[in-house]
Amino acid sequence: MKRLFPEIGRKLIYFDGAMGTMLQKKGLESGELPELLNVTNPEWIRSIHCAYLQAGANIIKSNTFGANALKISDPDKIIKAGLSIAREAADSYGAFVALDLGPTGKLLKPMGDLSFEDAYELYKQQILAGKDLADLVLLETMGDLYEIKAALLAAKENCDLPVAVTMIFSANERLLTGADAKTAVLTVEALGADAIGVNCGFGPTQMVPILQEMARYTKLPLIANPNAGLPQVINGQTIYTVSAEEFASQMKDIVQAGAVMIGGCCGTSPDYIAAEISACQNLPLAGRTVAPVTAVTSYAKTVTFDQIPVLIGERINPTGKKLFKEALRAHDMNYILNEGIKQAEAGAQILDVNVGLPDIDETAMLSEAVIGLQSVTDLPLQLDTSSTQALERALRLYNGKPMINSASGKQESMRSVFPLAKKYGGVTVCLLLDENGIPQTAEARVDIAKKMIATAKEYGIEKHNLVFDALAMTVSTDPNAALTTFKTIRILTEQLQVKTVLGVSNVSFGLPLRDQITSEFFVLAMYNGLSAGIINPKSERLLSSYRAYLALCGMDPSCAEYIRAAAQTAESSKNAVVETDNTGIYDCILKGLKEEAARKAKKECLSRDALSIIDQEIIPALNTAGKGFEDKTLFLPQLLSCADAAKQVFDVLKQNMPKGASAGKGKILIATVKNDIHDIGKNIVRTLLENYGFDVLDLGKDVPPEKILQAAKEGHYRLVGLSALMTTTVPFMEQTIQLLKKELPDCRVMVGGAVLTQAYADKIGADFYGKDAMESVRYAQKLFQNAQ
Amino acid sequence: MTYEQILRYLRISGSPDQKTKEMIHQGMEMAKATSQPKRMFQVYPCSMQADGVQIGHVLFEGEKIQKWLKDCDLCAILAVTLGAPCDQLLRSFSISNPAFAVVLQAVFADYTEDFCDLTEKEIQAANPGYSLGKRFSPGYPGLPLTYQKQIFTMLDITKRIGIYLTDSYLMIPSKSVSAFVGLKKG
Repeated sequence: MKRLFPEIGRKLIYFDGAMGTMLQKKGLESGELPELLNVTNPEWIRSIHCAYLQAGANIIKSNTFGANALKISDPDKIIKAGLSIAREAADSYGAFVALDLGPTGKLLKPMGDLSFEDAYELYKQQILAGKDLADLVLLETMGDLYEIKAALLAAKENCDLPVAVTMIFSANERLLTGADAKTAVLTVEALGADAIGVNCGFGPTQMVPILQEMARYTKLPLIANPNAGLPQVINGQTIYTVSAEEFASQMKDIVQAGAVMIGGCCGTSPDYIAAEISACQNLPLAGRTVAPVTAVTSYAKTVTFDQIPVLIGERINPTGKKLFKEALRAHDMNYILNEGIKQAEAGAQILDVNVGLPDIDETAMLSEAVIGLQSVTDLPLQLDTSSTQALERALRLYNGKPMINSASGKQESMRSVFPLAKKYGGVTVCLLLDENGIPQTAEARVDIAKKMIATAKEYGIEKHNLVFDALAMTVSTDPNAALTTFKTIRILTEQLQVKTVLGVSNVSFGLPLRDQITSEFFVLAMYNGLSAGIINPKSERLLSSYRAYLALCGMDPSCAEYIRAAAQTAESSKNAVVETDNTGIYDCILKGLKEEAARKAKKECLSRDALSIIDQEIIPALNTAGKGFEDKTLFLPQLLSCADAAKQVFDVLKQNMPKGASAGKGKILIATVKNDIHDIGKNIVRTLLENYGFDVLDLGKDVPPEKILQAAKEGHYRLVGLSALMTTTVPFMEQTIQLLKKELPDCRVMVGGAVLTQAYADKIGADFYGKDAMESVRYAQKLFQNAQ
Repeated sequence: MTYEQILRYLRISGSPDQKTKEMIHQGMEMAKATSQPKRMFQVYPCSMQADGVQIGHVLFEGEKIQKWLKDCDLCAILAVTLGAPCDQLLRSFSISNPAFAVVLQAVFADYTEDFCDLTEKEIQAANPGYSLGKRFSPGYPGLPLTYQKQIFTMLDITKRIGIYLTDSYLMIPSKSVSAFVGLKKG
């Protein structure tokens, strides 16, 4: 931005005001697309640009806000026309042109139905069309961090112009998809924006607190383009009631809050901009002191490495976990997501994600896990891979500013990781080892840290975006291992003033009661200054040590958190006492007691074989529950509780079964059809089928017919279950059935969903219509029984 | 939200087991804590046309909508959402605790209704001298989902309260409602 405006920060830069408001005054009908006027009525556009330039604007926004391929048929032509009008007008005043781009209007996956890549392509097209006649790119009225990321990458990768990003906040001071101002500004800055700010939604007064918050976290120039007050709807017309004079006077507060580029949005006109300029031009600009923070973000929240040590959950990792490895090979994404959900419930603040196995496509798997996890948790993620390719893909698709695990002091490692960390933003974990291995002394480890800080700087990465792993070594083989680690942490914290992290559990390797020594080690490391631990949040021993440490060290005022956790523990042990009254696995399943059922199964599978537990406990319990559901003496939540308890027992049995053995009653493929985003019904069916012993592959929602066919072919599925909730999506169900029948005539298709009836199912060629989840189970049982 | 209404959404007649009861109460607490409800409405003049009903500047084609808005002078269009965090909770529980996901689904449905009712009260308060008809939505029999596109453009719903429309006219966040309400003089 300095390249364009060398005086930025010392002198205010002025944007223009609203385009739409001015066009409506000239007679634009509501519902008409204003961008088309670039071709049909360029004179209107030209005169509006000139009026703003006359009023004193330094930057005019091209009339291209919604000119994307989703909304208009020829965006290239419309954008080029818009830019040439703006360019010509600006040149005669010595002013600048911003290529103005708004949101696509669609929500990105996994929340919505537009893929990240498609969003990127939409912006790329716009940027290529407009870049030659523009001085900067302005992404404005953005309400979703993920869409901002797609647009920013498109801009950075396809032109050399500076990119400014202004966002629209709701009354709760968050973006539409949930990020607060701090999260938004940290994320957008990490992605390489050249200026950040706020536009639309609010008048100047309501914007002040958001700008103040932004000013605390970024040194980038701040932009404010507010509306002429809050919108009011009168007789179906949106009206802005703040006058030009009031607006101008409120803009003084905006400048006070730190904005250095100001203009207007909806409801403003050249009068507003002229009034704003005369009110603000002689104001002293607010100085800014920004203390750099080490922080990572998700699409909705920030985790800061501050005084209180951060807990990073280590459980999404196949190392030494049989079921996890199986889940990865079977592409069982739900298993992986559940590991994330459980750690979040247990108190993890960041989740480490490692899905590397020699025999799987790690690049595809890591991206899929990242996207999946971000649809079920708002915790920031730590991307843990040694594959540069997998890292780059995951960094690209991650929504937020992630942790990167990791780079080491080896030249080759820094050469491959640092450029990616710079491009996509992120906080990199730095392992203090290099070509010579792991240094034995703290001083030598700190030397590697210094080298890594210097190298990172060459790549443009500041040291607050690095976190140093002081390395926890096994204490059973080296009695001084822990002491060296503590000393390293102390020097890093006190002398280098950097943040630190440890994978704590290494320390106890080879020792009995590992939890105990790991927990004490963790406490001592924190006392020596550790900023974050990569830990198992499901270890109650470790978590209680952590809470005790916070209480003892002044980080848990009134011990509130400690007391809350203690009360919860007491509650759950009380429940456990009640649960032990129940006798067999059968009863536990029927009562939906999952922990108890799993515990009993663990005990019994020492003396009984797995299949007898399945046939004599699980299946009879589920049959009783299923019958109760059919007789309406027991209802869906209860049925699912039973199924969930049965699943816990299954998991225990699977873990104890010899490799290759299967409890499977048959393989079933299920999916919600293309364009349908409802999946709760499908999920219920999946849960029940799984717990009746079927191996279910769930392809998720919004699945195209071709993808279903491909999966059915590859896995030799004989039964496919399809779900659709809306009349608009049933045609895709029909298409899918036709395709399956044609290509795989032996494959049976069962269907279900709110809009379906038996008659409808017959019409579209389904083999079976299940009016509820139990019916699907019965059908599957019959089908596979007959086959046997 | 009422316990009884949530039972109805769950299609539970009679009294459920203790665990389900607890889940319902827990779900109600969670709905209040997690949701970020937003709502909006606009009132337009409406008039019968040969092939539909004109609401504001926009023609909604169809016979069924004519029946719904018969004798109405005004038509209010409203939109309500519980916000994106509710969807995330549902996705998360449908993996980690499917029984609770089903209960939560019912709780959210009832909570969404509360905000629709509240919005109707606000429409009534803003239009004294009119009586409100029954609320109806695109997707009801004879009312095509394509109305959604028209409604979303008219009210600028995506920008104002953050509901998005998919290619097949479904709303995201899923706990959202858009509806018409007819207003008659007197």
